[in-house]
Amino acid sequence: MKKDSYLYTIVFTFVLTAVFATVLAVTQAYYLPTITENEANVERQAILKVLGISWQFDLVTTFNEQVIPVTAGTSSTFAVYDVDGRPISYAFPLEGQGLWGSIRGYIGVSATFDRLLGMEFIEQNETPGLGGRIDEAWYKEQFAGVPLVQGEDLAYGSGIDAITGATSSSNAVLNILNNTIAELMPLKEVLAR
Amino acid sequence: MMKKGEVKALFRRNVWDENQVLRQILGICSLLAVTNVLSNSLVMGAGLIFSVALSSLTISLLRDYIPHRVRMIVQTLIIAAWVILFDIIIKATLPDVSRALGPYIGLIITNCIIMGRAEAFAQMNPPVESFLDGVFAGLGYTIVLVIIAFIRELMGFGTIFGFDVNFLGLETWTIMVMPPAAFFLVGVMIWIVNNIVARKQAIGGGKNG
Repeated sequence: MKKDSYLYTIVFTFVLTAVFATVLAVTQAYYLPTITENEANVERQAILKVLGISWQFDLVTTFNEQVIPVTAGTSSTFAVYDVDGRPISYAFPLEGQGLWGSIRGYIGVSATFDRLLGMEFIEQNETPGLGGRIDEAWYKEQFAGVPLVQGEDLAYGSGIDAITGATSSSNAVLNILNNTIAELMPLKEVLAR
Repeated sequence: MMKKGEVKALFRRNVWDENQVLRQILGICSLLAVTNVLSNSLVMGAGLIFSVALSSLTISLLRDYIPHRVRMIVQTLIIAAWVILFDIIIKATLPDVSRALGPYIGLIITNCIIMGRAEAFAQMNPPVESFLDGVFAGLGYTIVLVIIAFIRELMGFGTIFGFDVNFLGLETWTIMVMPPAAFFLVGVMIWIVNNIVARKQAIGGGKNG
């Protein structure tokens, strides 16, 4: 077969593509459980952090022992119960639009819905060094222990500081947080039952 | 097999005389994006060395069989396959780094350095030479990346590899964290290196030119 003939070109391209596609498919299939597990661990870490549960090396065990997934309405939440089966705290997914892209994470709320326990991000695309600082510990820790009042939005100023030079990202986080809280307030009764 | 002198010459040419970033101004896009912290730059460099070396090797091995008409499509296919492979491995073994680099690992596919080495070297040279050429070209890129990342991380965050070294509590420069800083720094580096090379050529009577 001549190297520049149409048939050779087609056969060559076809075979080469098949070989590489097979190699990639096999690798992907081989690593898929690890990759899925890694992604699940990122979520588990965030959920445990917002619920204020610490762990050493046994992330998955700690998570499975302490946190129970609950469905309330359309949203899936994670609950922690005391020994008598009364709820202590809930973790809710947080999702919304940041300045440059979507921001995703979790917030922890006390069982009575009167206090925010913590906030963690899983995904954010804010400018590194500016808006990206929303993922710094000092910023997130400000939200731990903030009182929640139905019908009242959280605002910067009293106890919570925005990030200097990153007003848009700071406001975006606050908006997402307020929207999420407004949406989950009605769940209080649903979960209490 | 290659002689030691040839390897040395290949190394020198790729890392210094024809450095992909400083002399050929290739791979600038990824340089702007990942050089704000050292760890990401190192992984990016490793990814590029891996991808360019193995792509060059594969292309060189297949060079007598690749139809001329579709050679660029075939090169892209080979490059994409190696980069995706690297991406999967990083995702499975270094999830934190993979999260930090986001889409940039996948974007190695579009890095001009890889296609450049494939077109300029791998498609007409034997496999071992092509492999080494890829390693050295990637190394030249990585060295520049690390130098710029060192300056940017130190001045932008006051850290080196994430460790706080800002003992004096100096004000960090936000601009250093943002892409423009990489432009300034790479510009200064290009200026310095071109001056040195130009002076050498003037002394040597333009022998290298």
